Amino acid sequence: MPVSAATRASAGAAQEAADLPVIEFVAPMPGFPDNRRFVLVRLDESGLLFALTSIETPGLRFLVLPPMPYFPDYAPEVDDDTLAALGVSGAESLLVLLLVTTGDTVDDVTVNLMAPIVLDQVSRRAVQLVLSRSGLPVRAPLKAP
Amino acid sequence: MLVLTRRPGESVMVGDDVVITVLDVRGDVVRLGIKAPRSVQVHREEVYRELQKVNREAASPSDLAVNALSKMLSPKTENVSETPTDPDKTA
Repeated sequence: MPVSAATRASAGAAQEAADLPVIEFVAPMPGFPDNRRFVLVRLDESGLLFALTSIETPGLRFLVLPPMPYFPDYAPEVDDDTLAALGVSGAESLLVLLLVTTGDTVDDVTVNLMAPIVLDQVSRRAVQLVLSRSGLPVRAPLKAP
Repeated sequence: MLVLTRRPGESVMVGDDVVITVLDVRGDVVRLGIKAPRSVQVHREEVYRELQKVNREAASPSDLAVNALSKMLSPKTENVSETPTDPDKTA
């Protein structure tokens, strides 16, 4: 079978993933009860796009990106229970990432502001934080800043 | 479906460590208190269903979609002046 550029890129990502630290979800993401262990694979040079890649289900990955610079005012409140579950010592070790849904075209790309991925960079624990009372959308259009 | 009758202040246990307590009943509104370990996600059904749906839609985009998005986000084609310059590759 001919190896396409895309296939090579995936193989490269898989190789890179093997060297990355494992992130453990303290609770599985809704819809994916059997996947708790992921690695964060960087997809571009500028550090704007990552693939949260399952190490338990081959081929399962989610695109994530930092809220900056698209949503500069976005500051989800992380409750004490979540901080404790993540083993967070200080807010500076927390990393917030937004889940991306790609549409048919790049104009249809949305991000989930209601339920961001919150990751502690020291403990390497993560959770999809659900801000159900925030009124924030699960499909916010992603536009260039 | 298992059907149980409970009064305010009484509880139901689900497994060893999930406790659902009826706090109070006013008209057609029932307030429940739910104690569960962190590994058990507890949300209103409509919120959880919506999250399942959007997460499934987000899962495993095609390489084509990833490349298109990566291009869209690239500072070469967009004026992204606030691009984080964190050298830490793995965040």
